[in-house]
Formats: sequence, C-alpha cells, structure tokens
Amino acid sequence: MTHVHLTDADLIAILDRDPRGVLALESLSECPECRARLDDLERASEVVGALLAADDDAWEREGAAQDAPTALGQLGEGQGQEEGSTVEEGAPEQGWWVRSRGRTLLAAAATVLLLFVLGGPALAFVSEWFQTSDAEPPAVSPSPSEATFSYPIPGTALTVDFSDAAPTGLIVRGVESGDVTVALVGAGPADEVTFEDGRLDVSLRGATPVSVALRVPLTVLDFVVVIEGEPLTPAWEDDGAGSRSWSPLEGR
Amino acid sequence: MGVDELFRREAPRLRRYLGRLVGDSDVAEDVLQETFVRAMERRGDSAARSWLYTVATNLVRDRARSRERRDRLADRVPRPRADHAHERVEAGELRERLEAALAALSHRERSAVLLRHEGYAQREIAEILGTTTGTIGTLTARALRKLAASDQLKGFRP
Repeated sequence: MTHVHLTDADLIAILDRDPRGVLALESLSECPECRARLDDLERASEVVGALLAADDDAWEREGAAQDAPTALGQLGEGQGQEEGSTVEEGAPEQGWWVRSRGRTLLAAAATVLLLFVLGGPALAFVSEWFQTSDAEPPAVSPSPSEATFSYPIPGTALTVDFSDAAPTGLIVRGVESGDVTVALVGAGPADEVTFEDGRLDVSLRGATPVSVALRVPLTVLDFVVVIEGEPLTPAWEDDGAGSRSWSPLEGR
Repeated sequence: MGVDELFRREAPRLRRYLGRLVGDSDVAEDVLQETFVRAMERRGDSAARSWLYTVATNLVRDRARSRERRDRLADRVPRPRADHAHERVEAGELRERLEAALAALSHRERSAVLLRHEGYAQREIAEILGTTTGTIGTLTARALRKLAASDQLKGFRP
C-alpha cells in the first residue's frame, strides 16, 4: 500500500497534541521521512518558542508599567467622557484609551470640517493626497458621503495607499483583501488598476474616461468604506453575479 | 465578565501579541485601544477572549502596515527595556531580532504562530483568522520553519 506522507497540518497537530494528531501518529511510525520532518518541525518549534518566551518577560515588565494600576478600570466613567476626552490632572494613567479615542474623533471631525467648510483648500489637500502627476487636481464631490471622486485626467497615475496607519485615501474595512475586486470600467488596454497588499494603484494612460469599480461579495455583510477617516454608506448595486458594485472613482 | 475585568486580564497578553504582530508599539497600542473600545460598545457580550483576538487581528490586517515600515525594522536601534545593563542589551537585541524575523512572515503566518504562542489551539486560531484548521497547521509549520531558519534568529539563543 502506498504511504501518503503526513501534511504540515498533521505534524502540527501531533506537536500540539491535537486530537487530529492521533490518527497521524499511527502513520508516523511507518515513514522515516515523516518522522524526520516532525523532528525538524519540533526543533523549530522549540527554538521559536524559547525565543518568544524569553521575550515574554520583557513584555510583562513593560506591560506592568503601562497598565498599572487602572487602565480600563475607569471604563464606566469613560463612556461619558469620550466627547470631551478630558482626564483630570494628577491621574494621567487613568482612562488613557479615552483620551486617545477622543483625539481620533477630533481628528475625524477636523477632516470632515476641512472637506465641507474649506472647499478649495480641501481640494488642494485631496490633490496632494492622491499624488497626481499632473498639475490639474482631481475634482472631489462636495459630499464625501456621495463617495465619488472624479478623475478626469487621462495619462496620469493615481495612487491611493491603503496601508498606512493614518487615514489615507480609500479604505475598505471588514473584508478579506481577496474578497474585494477593483476594476476599471470603460478603460482602454493601457489603463491599469491593481489592488493588493492594501494598496490601490490606478494608472490611466488612455484618453477614454474611466471609472474605478469596487466589488464586494454579497456574502460579506459587515464592512465599511472609509474616505479620509469618514465612514461611508454608499449606495451599492447588486450586479447579479453574487456581488455588489460601487464606483468610488469616476472619470469624466 | 465586564470589559474592565476583561481588560485587566487580557490586555498584557493582547498587547504583546499585537506588538509582535505589527512590529510597532504605537500601532499596537492604538489597535489595543480600539479593540477594547469595540468590546465596550459590544457591552455584555464581549467576554470571549477569542473575540478580542479576532477583532484585534482584523484591525491589524485592515491597517495593512506598509512594507516600507517593515523594511525600516532592520535599521531600528534597539530600545533598552530591562532593569540591568546586561539584560538591557540582551532584551533589546532579542526584541529587535524577533521583530525583524516576524516582519518577514506574511500577516497570516505571523498571526498563526503568535496566537499559538499565546496558547490557542489550532481550531481556535482557525476561528480567529476565519479559515480551516488544516490551513492554520500549514501556516504555522511554514512560519516556524522560516523563523528558525531566519538570519536574524540563527545562532541566537536566549
């Protein structure tokens, strides 16, 4: 009978004494190759485990200093504080998360104000944010909730970096990157869009106006689209193929 | 269990997990805070420890740290953390090497191996990362081999 080698998952199950490993153990005795792979993996596991365990001590010391003594102990009171995000003098370690959340809210509010109130300067900001290679900035719709960025300039490259911790560009939260597909609609052969590793790159080289369409499977129920820190609830269209579509970027 | 109790019990380990996962203590702290804010919003239904790790891991994934930041890890100056001089050197160097080695893994490999270190069973890790137990086993084995063979950790023993 032909021996079927154990998979890495089987070997991990054996090492972790997972119930799945019991069956795999029986197969192990028949195959020196599988035994050797298990031994190698066990050594790797021990080395990595020992290094992480040694580093655990340092984390514990840091954590003890950081958490002591309250941290979230003020959670109940903190709920009422979040708008002002004020923490009394003399208790700097208490409610640290509240302060931070307040700062985030303030930053988001400032961004919205920038877009809604400043108008022209806001457009300039968005232009810089999009890093266009041409002098003329892309137009942005007056309301972020419309979720439409007009991008009228053929021959330019648009880059939106999803990957930075700071609010940047167009962000989709709550979906696996593999679930999201981004496509150019009405594009010529020279136009390209890529969406991988948290980064959307759009390169428009043709003369035809295009739009960038985002598609998310209908099975994904809980997700949000964020533009510059502001969650959006855009109107999605069922495309009849098990997904819904939305065009955040439109050419003219 | 209330969120405050959950925080007291889980924050240190979650902070450690996140710190290693993102390789940036500031980002880790932000994610830790956001995770517990979500737990607070979820109110009485937030007792599940694995729920915290699911939310935290997803938040990290959403942030999708830039490759440039990872590359800068190799140039980072280790920050002394321990109490004694000789420990400072060792702790700082170990942390730096671990960060660099972990940064070379994919997000899922890193999550899998770190959750395993935090004591989660393969089945639980699969639930947290939203995949199958078999896939987690494969990711874990691959991550362990990569780490053990990494230049940063090769020959370095605590």
